[in-house]
Amino acid sequence: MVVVVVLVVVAAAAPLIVSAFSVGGPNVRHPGAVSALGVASGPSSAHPFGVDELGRDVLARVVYGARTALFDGVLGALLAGFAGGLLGLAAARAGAWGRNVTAVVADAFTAFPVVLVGLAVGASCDAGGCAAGAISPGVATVVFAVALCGLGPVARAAAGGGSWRPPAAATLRFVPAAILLDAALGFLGAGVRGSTADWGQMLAGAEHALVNGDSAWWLLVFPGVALVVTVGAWRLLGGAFGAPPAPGGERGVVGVSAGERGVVRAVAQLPVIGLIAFMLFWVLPERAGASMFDHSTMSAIWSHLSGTVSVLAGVVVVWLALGPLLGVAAVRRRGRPLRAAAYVLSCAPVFWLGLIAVWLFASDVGKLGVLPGVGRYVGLTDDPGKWVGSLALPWIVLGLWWAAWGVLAARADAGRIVDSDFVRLARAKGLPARRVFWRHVVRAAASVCVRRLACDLGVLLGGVLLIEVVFGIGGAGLLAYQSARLGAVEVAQWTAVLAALLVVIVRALPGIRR
Amino acid sequence: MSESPLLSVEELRVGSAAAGVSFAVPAGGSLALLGSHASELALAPLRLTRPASGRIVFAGSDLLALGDRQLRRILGDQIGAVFADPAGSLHPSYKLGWQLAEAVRAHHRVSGSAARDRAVDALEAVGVPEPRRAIDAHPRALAIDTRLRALIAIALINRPRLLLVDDPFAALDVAARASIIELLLGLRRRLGFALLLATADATLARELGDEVYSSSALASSPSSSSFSGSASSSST
Repeated sequence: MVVVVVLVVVAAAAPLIVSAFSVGGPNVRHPGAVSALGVASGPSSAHPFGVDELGRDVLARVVYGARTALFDGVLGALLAGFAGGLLGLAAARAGAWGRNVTAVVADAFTAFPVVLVGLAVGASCDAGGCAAGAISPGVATVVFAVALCGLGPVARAAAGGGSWRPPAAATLRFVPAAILLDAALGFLGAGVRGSTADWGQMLAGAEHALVNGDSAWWLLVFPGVALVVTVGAWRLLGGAFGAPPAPGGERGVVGVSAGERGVVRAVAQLPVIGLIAFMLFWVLPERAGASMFDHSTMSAIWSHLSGTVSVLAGVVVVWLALGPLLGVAAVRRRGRPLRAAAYVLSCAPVFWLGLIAVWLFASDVGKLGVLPGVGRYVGLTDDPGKWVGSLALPWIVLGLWWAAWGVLAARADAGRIVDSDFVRLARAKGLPARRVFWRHVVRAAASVCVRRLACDLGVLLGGVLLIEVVFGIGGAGLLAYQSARLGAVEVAQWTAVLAALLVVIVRALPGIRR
Repeated sequence: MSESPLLSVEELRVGSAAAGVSFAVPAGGSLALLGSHASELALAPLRLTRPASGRIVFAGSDLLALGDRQLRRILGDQIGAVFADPAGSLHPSYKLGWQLAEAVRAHHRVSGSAARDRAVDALEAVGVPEPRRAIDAHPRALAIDTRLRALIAIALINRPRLLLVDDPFAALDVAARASIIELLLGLRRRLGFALLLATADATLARELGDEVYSSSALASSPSSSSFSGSASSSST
């Protein structure tokens, strides 16, 4: 475990040595160098990982990409840890009400889909820096976006413990998420700029090549594997410092009954959401924000919602149907391969999984060609049959990714359920084994899955956005992405705020919060 | 003790215990197990885990040799059980009445409303306030001592001949604990079921057990003989 991390650190500290050793060719002097002809070529003895369409050596870029990922990820996490830790520790000093305030603030922060916030921040700071020049385009933007997203979890951890250890552990645990976020932003074109080698950006290049029909698999596979290995290594390291606290397991608002708690919490989050929205709209962009109620923006988002809802609905249905069974299966002794697969899948960025799926299975550019691939989305009202077909691949990819996260997260809960006294009591009642399994074990696992879905809905919405972009599904996420690329940030901002509101509402539903 | 006992456990070895343990509970009698592995020993008739070796004979049938179907017919009907954690022993997703009715319907073909009536009666018998409202409550809405009373109601709802109790009083305050111990004594007098209690508390063991049996004392002497009346202390 530690060895893997050492490996990563070496890759980060000495990319020069590595690249000089393995590829001494002429185009390796700089990862950004352009040398070969316009056609990308695959792995060869001179270029073990091949070159990209601009003739840049992929190995060198992968190695340099480690630098970017680690720098952005670690620095962003450290900033988040510092700010969140201070906030949380101060709140812990302030007693019960301080903890309440932190819980509400942390809830509000985690309600935002991180990818959307990153997209909005990245796009608004892209033009010429933002926050009066304090945040310049490129790396600083990414670090800022990452830090913003890590603030909530760290603050929550800090407020609970009251010592420096929980926030430090939370910061460490946030690093893999930060690296994934960094890659996602690079993929969306809202991250680092220009010739800086970045895994996310490399994968965006691979997507272009893929959609254009020349399947340059080396562009797709190597950066992605590097990403998975790096994220996995950090996850293992973070896991060594204790399991993350269960979501929804934190203390409720003092002086409020259990029934009112969900609603009160939700209402309390609204000012914080407003504050974050205010920052997104006005403080960050140089150009003072778009008009608050821009009718055309809202109607554009509204008209694109059907695509987003289609993707989301399929994944939710699949998760609620299979999640409880998978969670219970993962705690069994024979569930080891399942757990391993879930771990690897959850280390992979969802857009990479989507690209791999397109490369393998899409009917037009895929190797096996079984399911409709990119840009084949058909509305439900147009043709229900084709609607299912066009969404099958996105559903499978997103469902797998989400289930991997869910299975890992629900594993501890499922373990508690299987060994719980209420399951033992069900057996002691003399019930048949099948009834004990379905009515007691799976039923309890199902409510855990519903709660998990509600608490982490922001994460899923971020995944939906990325999947929309990869598969060209005309939903709100794709709209936000495309308008951000064209310089219209409002859509991303609004989508982020609306998504956060949705998450807050869902979390406040009865039965979600106990 | 001229007849054969209701439950007799012979040379039972559970978990990491070094030596087998033997004890017996006469019909209508009560026995308290003290010391290491007391919980596993007391709950062994439920066959939640397979013991390493030994025999458990209940009313003439060897529980460890029974098929699953025959065992299920006995569990919940002739043997009731109360686990150590009253907060975690009720299913969080179901209303209390449903959970009581499920215990009835596992063994009797009765209509939904009849099962519901029995649930109300059972809750009333264990002193749950407002049983008609309590059956529509989710467990998390109930106080911890109410949950324990409900668990006792579930264990006794089919009038079992034997009640297994794994000391559930740790989470209770003194008053609630005293009143539930009083309840158990009263129920035993009225219904006449036999009681097997596992606890670490010698006072509680003497309070609820006609006989007290310390398994740790026996674990130290490898050749264990059948326990028969020569209790370390007895009280009624």
